[in-house]
Amino acid sequence: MTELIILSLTGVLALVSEFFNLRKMLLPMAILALAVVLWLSYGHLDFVEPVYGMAQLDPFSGKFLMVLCILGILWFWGFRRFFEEEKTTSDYFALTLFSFAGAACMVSYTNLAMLFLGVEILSIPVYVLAGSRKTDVKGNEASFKYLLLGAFSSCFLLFGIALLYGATGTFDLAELQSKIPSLTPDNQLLLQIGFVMTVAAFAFKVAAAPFHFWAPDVYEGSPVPVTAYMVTVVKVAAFAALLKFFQAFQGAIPQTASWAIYGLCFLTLMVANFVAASQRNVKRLMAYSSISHTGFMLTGIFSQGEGAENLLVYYSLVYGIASLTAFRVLWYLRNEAADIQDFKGLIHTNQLAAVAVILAMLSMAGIPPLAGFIAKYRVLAAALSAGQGWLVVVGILASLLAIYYYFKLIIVMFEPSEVAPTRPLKLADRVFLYVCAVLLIGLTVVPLV
Amino acid sequence: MLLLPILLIPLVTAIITYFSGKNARYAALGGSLLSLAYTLFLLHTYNTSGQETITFSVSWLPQLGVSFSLMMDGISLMLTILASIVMPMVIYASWNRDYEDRHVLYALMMLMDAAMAGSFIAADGFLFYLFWEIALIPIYFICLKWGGEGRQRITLKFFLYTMVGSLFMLFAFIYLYQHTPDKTFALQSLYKAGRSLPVMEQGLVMAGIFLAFAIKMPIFPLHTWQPETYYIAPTPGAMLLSGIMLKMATYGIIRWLIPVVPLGLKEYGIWLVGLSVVSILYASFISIVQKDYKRLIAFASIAHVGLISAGLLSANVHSIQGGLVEMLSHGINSVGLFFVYDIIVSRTGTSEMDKLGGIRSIDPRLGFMFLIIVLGVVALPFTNGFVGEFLLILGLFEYNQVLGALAGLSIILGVVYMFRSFQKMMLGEVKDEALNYKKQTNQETMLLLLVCVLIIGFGVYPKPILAISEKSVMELLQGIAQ
Repeated sequence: MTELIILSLTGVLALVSEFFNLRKMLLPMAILALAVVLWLSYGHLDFVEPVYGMAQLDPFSGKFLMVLCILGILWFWGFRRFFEEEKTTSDYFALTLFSFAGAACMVSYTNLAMLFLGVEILSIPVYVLAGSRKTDVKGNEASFKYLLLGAFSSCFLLFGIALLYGATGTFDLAELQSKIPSLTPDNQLLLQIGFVMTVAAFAFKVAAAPFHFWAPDVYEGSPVPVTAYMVTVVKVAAFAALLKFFQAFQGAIPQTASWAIYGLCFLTLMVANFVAASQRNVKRLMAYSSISHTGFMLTGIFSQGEGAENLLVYYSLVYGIASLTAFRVLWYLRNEAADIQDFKGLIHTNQLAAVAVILAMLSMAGIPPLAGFIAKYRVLAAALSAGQGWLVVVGILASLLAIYYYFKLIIVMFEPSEVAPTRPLKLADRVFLYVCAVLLIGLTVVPLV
Repeated sequence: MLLLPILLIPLVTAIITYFSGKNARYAALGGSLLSLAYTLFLLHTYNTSGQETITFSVSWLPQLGVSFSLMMDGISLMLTILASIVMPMVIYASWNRDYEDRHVLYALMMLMDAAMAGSFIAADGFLFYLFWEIALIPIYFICLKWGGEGRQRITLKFFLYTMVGSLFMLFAFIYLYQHTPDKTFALQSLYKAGRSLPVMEQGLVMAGIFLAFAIKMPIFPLHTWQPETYYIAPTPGAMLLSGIMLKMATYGIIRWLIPVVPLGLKEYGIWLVGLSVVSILYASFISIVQKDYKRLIAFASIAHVGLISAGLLSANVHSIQGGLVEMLSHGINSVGLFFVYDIIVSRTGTSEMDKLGGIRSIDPRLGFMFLIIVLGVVALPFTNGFVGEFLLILGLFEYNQVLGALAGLSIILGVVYMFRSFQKMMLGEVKDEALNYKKQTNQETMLLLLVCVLIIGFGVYPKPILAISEKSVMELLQGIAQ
């Protein structure tokens, strides 16, 4: 409960900060708030606190909230220049913090109504942030597209929840789970349709193929920091919510639905990697790479269910850190749409940035000893022990394909550079990159979860 | 605890080297010499204590059945000695060469050394795989940053090739892991799991593991990445690749293939030995027609490593002992051959043998020492090459006479291509490219002299080298026979 209050209050404080001239204090405040939430969530790792029957702060939500806070702190720190423009500072802070509160609801819900609220609270500020560059046509397109498709997926979610309610007569996840075995065949059918509808809504949110078409456009059009926020915080929250939802249905999923979800994994892995291989725009490349990671995380969730918690926490953390690193360097090179050639010769002009990107790419490609390897290995091992050998083969083929496009970026950085040296990085940004790099290696050596 | 410094010394050296800027070469050489000293200390402990194996183990990823276990017996010790002898030589070989950002180059080399040393002492399948892959990353970047023409395409091919191969090895390990009684990747568990499998499955596991090794060594027809990569690699990179890195694969055969699937090896091993022999002959013939000296050494390396592979897979005392000695000799000789290449190219700018000639008349010292290295490579008696190749061919002959005889041809063919290269570059008239040839410096002489001393020293008195691994090899073979 305290976590939600802290996040929302900091958001409100950000809104009113204009009156008290607190603008300069907002960044430390936001980071402090997240740090406090991080600490509180750590306390919830062995302590369950129900919140009015709507949500529950327990080890599950604690772990994911910790990941979200770590990613959030890194994000605020790395992308703090995003908030420098005077007129909009407080709005941006408020919007981000509110969406963070939404993410907190999504990882801790026990009631489907709360889930829906969480999804909306998370998404609506992000629609606005995506269009935050008002004069930019692509940004407007991205924002509008995101809003329309987001609304569409909300419809799916609502429809799914309604059907689930119709079948079981409850919004409460635990109660719903207990009622599943005793349903009449008619209600069983309703339940199945509701389940598939809801999963489809999640698939929209996490950008799984074939519901991914919005993602490359939106990621490309939005400002880089917002894209980074979408591929990390938003995605991780949606995955946590999906995992919780899926766990409630585990064991009750009929054959047809399980074909649908494994089909989702297969399509996502294949489509993302094949399309990514032909991209020249780095933002689009990263978008497809993020979709490919969606495929891996879905594989982990669907093949493991109950035990997928730690796996997903670890995967999200590693994936999030690698993404933040890559987007931070991308933002440093170019404010906007970056061609792959913008990375040309980076190793000669800025070694630290280049090495950070290399580590991020190696980690995303799943190459030992980077943490991404352990993450992918755990996912594929889970799929193997769930008897989904074919999915493992697909996953490995996808990883090999991924090496090709991640390495395309690495190779470009080693080409001789004709561009003038870029402006030096500030100390805080250098520290940011060092921290990310150390985490990417350190999480292999000391895998905390 | 005794084993950790083997990893830590190069790792710490890598970090120090990176931050020591202009003095990087001193830091790297110091670190690698320290590592050599430590290995000699281990050798001393090993000889005097009579302890068969030294082990170290801590829990690391319990949910995946992975522990951080290291183990050293005579076989591992042999390879560790190889790595720690070759490493300072490689660093010293590039002492006066102008490499951009050399602190990064040396740091990467030391990182690679740590990973390779790790793979020689890993006692956990997963850990072995990790070290195996980690070693790939520094060499990839060494070739990508300091390599020659066309490096982007060639290094990516190299990386993907090895990556795909090692994935098959990982598959095989996971398959074994699922059959282990205690669900761990520990060496002994994998041995137990492998030996409990039916022959057919052992054969499949063997194929998976061998594929990774065959690509790394490389064995025909999986060798296509190798000549190109050696060709574009900067000299220290090429030395590391052929001097130490490919020994990860040959060592892998001894530790991670033969004892894991003894029945499969007995049943289907003949195919792999046959393939290795084909590889020897193929590479030797290609070597003979090479016009470029560096490509010639690359193919010669395939031929030699083919012999090692064939010998090891025939799995008897002679051949394994011979293989181990040959690995050591091959490492030292590779450094010598590539260093001669480096010396010549730094003077003339070319390694095309038709453009070179008569260097011996300008620089007789180089001519003489190159001759000794060539003799070592062609396995003349009283050189280090002879001990290994003799034992290998003897062992192979015990295993299968026809294959043994065919593999024996490799010595004759070796004489043809090595002497041809010597003749073309060193003898005859002085060609244009070699006109302004400068005599070698003292640093170059020192290193070549060291190589020559090692070649003759090991050749004349190989007994202490053979003694290091003898007990462990016997034990290994007894384990299989049960």
